[in-house]
Amino acid sequence: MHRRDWLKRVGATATTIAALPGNALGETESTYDHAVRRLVGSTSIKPDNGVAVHVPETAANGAVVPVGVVSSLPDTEKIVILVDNHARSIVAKLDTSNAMLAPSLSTHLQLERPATITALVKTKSGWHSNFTQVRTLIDSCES
Amino acid sequence: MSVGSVVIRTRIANNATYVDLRVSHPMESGVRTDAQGVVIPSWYLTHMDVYLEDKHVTQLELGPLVSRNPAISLVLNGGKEEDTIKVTWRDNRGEAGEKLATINA
Repeated sequence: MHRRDWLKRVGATATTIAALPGNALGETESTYDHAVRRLVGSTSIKPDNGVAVHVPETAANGAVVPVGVVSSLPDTEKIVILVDNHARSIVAKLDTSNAMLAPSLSTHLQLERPATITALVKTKSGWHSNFTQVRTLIDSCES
Repeated sequence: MSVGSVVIRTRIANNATYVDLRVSHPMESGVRTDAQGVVIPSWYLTHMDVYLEDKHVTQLELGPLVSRNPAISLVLNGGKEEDTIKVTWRDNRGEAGEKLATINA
């Protein structure tokens, strides 16, 4: 996905407030757009290089793709990692509102196909985001 | 390791405590199929909570796109040697567990 398309997409999804039911992550977030809408409602999302997303461009094993997100934005309250192009979108949500926790999160993804990995960061001033892409999977985690 | 067993590794550097967690869990996404083509039901961690010296530090919500046997790295501001870290977890089947560890220098 090109940056312009991504910005258009994020902006479009952020313009409507969704009222989808749901509990645990993954059981209700059927699409990337719904997931973003549920998270941010009608608020705008600002692309921001203060949000760093680290993933390999080429992943040798789609079942274990490392991802790291670090926010250098002040008053980071929440970090959310999402992927597009999959049946589920939200990977993880971390509450960073406690000053005892640094605003960073690292884990591993299981991807079926190449995807754009987006980090949304909520601060007192609103939602910020950045993204990067896993362009190639040598082995995917499909059955 | 049995399902739900947790390994906690810690190290202190630059006035921060680096916490690496690994939970033994299948993290089935619910979209894979077995050899007979039958969908394998979803089974994944949904929540983890981290406590330092009995104070709640954070809650992490997880989805089925996290890899099998999730490895999670967090950084705590503060913490000192011998402080206690507690991690609790629960999954979409309602199973739950917890693990205690002390911080290593």
